[in-house]
Amino acid sequence: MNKSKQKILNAFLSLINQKSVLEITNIDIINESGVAKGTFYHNFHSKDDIIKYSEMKIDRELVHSFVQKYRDENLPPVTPEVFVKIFCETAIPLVYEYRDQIRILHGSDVHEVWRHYLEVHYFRIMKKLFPEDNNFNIRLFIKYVNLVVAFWISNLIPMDQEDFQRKFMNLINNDVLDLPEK
Amino acid sequence: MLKTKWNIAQTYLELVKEHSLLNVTNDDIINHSDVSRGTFYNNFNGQKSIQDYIQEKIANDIITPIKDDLDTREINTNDIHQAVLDISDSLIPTLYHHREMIKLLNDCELNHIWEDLLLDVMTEYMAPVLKNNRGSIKNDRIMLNYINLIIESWITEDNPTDPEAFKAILYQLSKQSITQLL
Repeated sequence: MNKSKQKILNAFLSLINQKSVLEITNIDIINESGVAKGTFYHNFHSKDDIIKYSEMKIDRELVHSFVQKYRDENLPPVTPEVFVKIFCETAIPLVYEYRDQIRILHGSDVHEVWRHYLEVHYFRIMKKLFPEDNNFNIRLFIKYVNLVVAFWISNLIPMDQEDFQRKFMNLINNDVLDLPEK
Repeated sequence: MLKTKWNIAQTYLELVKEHSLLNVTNDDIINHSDVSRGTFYNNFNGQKSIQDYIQEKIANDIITPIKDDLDTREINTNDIHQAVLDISDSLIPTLYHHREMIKLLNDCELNHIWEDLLLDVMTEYMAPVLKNNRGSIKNDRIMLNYINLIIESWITEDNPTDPEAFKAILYQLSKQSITQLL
């Protein structure tokens, strides 16, 4: 992994945790991260780039572990149930691992920019897996999953991942207007 | 005066749509809206205050009529599905009428400007039903946000389904699980 990139991302997260992104300049990020000006511009052109990078970094691992798990299960047909199960088993531990980063992004005023990258990205993946499904349903599915995961992780001390995996399956397999207590 | 203020706000949104939220400066807004620096700073402190102004306008133009309509309804505190129908009867035609503005905010990644207000209205209307229904406040929050997401997914499409047809879709979606979307 690129060390400077990580330094810059960490500095950016620490800044957006303190103030509005509209008040943060590239110079602020350079100062906070301690990297040289040239290094910064070699890696990123803008704040948008940094947000995109933070999304891509988690996403790459996520896709990798999803595919790995899918192979381990001997490539079953990708029904919605199989998809949700593998997603739950692979994505939730990763989100938990990156929880600080995700909590800060989610709680900041760039959360929509970040959410947008995420939605566009996952839409492309899911459309490949479920080409027959209508776009509206896929978009809504992604938005909902993102919502419940963000709610979980935005707690300062989120419930542990095994508990949340159970909760997640409940939230996704029951009628939303009639969610069970637990 | 008011006209100038709204012109600046519109210019701001057009710039954000084109260059993204993080790449617009106050100077860009001043140059493109053809007002003097003095006039700009007489009206706004910065971009956050432009966003607040847009939110105020949305509150007046879109949210107040929805609220007034909901106030005329007699809520049945035992029927959560009926309450969702009430909400959709009130919201959907008004939002559809203002869809261009909402789509613009979506393209600017500023959905929270209208969604936060909408969520407040729904939460207030649903409160007696939820109180009556069962306990988990977290699940209630997820449910209300989900209704918001359904509406967001619809109204931000390039050509949203017409309001009457969408009411039926929303009602159907509110009675099924997320896995069934796929």
